[in-house]
This record gives sequence, structure tokens and C-alpha cells, in this order.
Amino acid sequence: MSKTNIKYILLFIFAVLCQTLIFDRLYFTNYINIYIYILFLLLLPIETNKFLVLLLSLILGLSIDTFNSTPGIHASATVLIGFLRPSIFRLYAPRDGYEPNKFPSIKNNGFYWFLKYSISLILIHHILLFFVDAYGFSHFFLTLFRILISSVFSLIFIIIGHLLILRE
Amino acid sequence: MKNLLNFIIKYAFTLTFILIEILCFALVFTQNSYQRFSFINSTNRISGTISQQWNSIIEYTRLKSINDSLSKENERLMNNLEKYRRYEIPEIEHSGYKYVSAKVVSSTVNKKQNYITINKGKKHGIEPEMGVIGPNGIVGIVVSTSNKYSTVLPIINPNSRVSVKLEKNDYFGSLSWESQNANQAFLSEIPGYVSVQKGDVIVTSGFSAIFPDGVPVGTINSFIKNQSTDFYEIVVDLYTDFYNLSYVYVITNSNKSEQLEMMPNTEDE
Repeated sequence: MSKTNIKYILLFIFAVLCQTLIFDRLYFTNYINIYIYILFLLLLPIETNKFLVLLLSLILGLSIDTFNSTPGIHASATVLIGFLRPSIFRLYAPRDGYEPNKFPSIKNNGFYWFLKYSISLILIHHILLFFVDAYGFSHFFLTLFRILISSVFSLIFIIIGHLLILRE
Repeated sequence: MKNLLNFIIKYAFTLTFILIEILCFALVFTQNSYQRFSFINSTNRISGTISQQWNSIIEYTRLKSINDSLSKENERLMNNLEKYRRYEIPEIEHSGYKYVSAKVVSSTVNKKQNYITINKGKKHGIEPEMGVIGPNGIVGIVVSTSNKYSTVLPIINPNSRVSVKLEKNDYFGSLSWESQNANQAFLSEIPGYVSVQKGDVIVTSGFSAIFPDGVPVGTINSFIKNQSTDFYEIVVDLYTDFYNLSYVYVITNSNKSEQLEMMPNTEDE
């Protein structure tokens, strides 16, 4: 097993534990839920096999669901961003393509690129997650408000987490 | 040929995604609680153990609030006991209710689908459909159990329905939750001709044999009368502090089947 694989396994464990043991237990207000664990999916190397990403998304989502006793809710959202990740890469591809063997990061792709990349995936993830959690579109605007405000906080913590990991 | 192959690969990816997504949604929306929780029951040995280890590390920071709530509970129970001490208690039949204390392993508060995991399971005689109360009042109902852990559906979950009543005049209603707020719940089905006041105490009705009669639920915060149905819509301030819930009691009822037979027409929850 290569060094990179071990690093990603550690990142997976770190993301799940950090989310369930720390961020799921923080209460600022009832509207804010911070989801930092998708950082794992954001940082997977760009050329990772799509099917592997899908499988990892499923495992990541189900792990979070296990801790929250909410089978399927997180998994449905993570699988969606696992599926859309390649399209997002294509959408934001620089003119001369991505450098090979790199993972998405501020260092490799620039701050602005990483920002739009994370915002897109965080928003997609949060939209599905919060509407599934609410069992549909009743209280539509309230759910929308929760999505927007939670996304902002998730983004801040994901950027901070990303910078911490980069230093390693 | 290469294009065709690429097309098939692309198609397979989308197909795999749709398949997995359907599976996830099936897990979320399936009505059968057995299927829904068999996944949780088989995996919560790992998550429960991890959460419990973590709790034992950080519990010290919360000892003060835990002690405060337990001492308040003692005060309430001792005052209740004092009321009964004045009377000579005749030999009465055992009510059938027994309490098993348990510790909260993990819980969520600020989601919609909130659940609580506790550290007692089948091994300790816990079964689904048992009531759970905390130091201050009602918490929820056990929905599934594994060997060492149980999952509790708290009253702050949109799927929860509990039969409650006004303490002062015994009018029955149904307690549900759909607000964003873990301190409040919604009381319906109280008829409009009943006199209702802010601060009135709500307790469990004892109809379902899940909770005994008179477990504290909360007090009335505000109410409006729905003119078209002539029923009240009441917001209840809950006694239970779900943000700091550490210890709970699971209520086992050995007379449950008899009790339900005696009242065949009541709701099950």
C-alpha cells in the first residue's frame, strides 16, 4: 500500500471522527449544521477512478449515517457529489488542462479555483442533504435559509481544514 | 469502436450512480422500521464504542451541568415522595413499570431527523416501543435495539407522536414536532371549548402503556384557536434539555399487553 493511500485512509478516519465527535455536537443556533467531512471527497486526486470515488462517497456517507442513526440521508448527498465531481472538474478546467498526479488544492490550482470548486460541491451536498433531512419541500424557505447559512460555515471550516492538511 | 466503448463506460457510471442513489433513498424513506434500522443495529457496535470512548474523555467538562440536572431531579423526586409519605400506603398491585437507567452515547439536536443512541440494549432487556424519560421529563421512544445499544426516536423528530394531556383538567392531545427548535414542540387536538392558559403543565396521558400516566412534558408557551376546526394550536416549552442530555431512564412495562387489551380503541403511540 502506497504512502498516499495510507494518507487518504487517515484523512477518511479523521474526517468522520472530526465530523461526528466534534462538529455534530456544536450548537451555535438551530439553523447552522457544519459538515466538514466532505473535505475527504474534495481532496481525492483528480484522476481517481470515478467508480472508486462513487464507492468511497457511499462508504463516507454511510459512516456518518451510522453515528447519527440516519440511514441513507448523508449517503444520498455524498454519492451525488461523488457523481458530479468529474463534471465540476470539466466545468472549471483551466485552458491547458489539469497537471497530472495532483489532488485539488489551493497550492496546485489557486485559491479562486479551489473556492469555486468547493462552493459548488458544498452547495450541491447541502441542498440534497437538508431537503432529504426535512423529508421534502415543506418549510421550503426555512430549509433554504438553513442550507445557505450552513454552507457558508462549512466552507469556512473546510478551507481552514484544507490549509491545516496542506501544512502536513 | 473506441467511442462506443467510451459511451458504454460513461453510461455504466451514471447507471451505477442511479442504482446507489435509489438504494440510499430506499433506506431513508422506507416505512418498515426493521429494514430502516437493521443497518444501524449492525454498525452501531463500532460507532457506539467510539462515541462512548470519546464521551469518557470529554465528560469531565460537562460534569457540572450533569450534576446540576441530577440534583434538580432528586429535589423533584424527594418533594413528590414527601407528598406520599403522609398517607399510609395500602398494599397495591405493582404497576408493572420499571426504570432502567442508561447513558446517552450520541445524539443530535439541530437536525430534523434527530435520533439518540443509548448504551443499553437487548442484553439489558430493552425492546422497541419502550418509553424513555430524562431527569426533567419525557425524551422519546425506543425504535430499535442491538445487543448493547438502542436507538431512541426523541420527541424532537417529525416522526414522533405522543399522547399527552393537560394536567389540570385531563383533556387529551397529541404532541408532535416540526419546528427548528429543540426546546419546543407542538400540541394539537385540544378542543376549543377547554380553558387553556400560558404556563399550564402538560404531562403524558398513560394511554399507550409506553409511558406511565403523568410524566412531565412541558408547559404551554403560546396558543391560538384555529377558527375553522375549533381546535387549539399550542406551542409547548419542553422540560427536557436535549442539548445537555446525559442520563436517561428506559421504562419497561410488564403489564403492557394486558393494559392495551383493556383499552383496545386507543392509539398505539
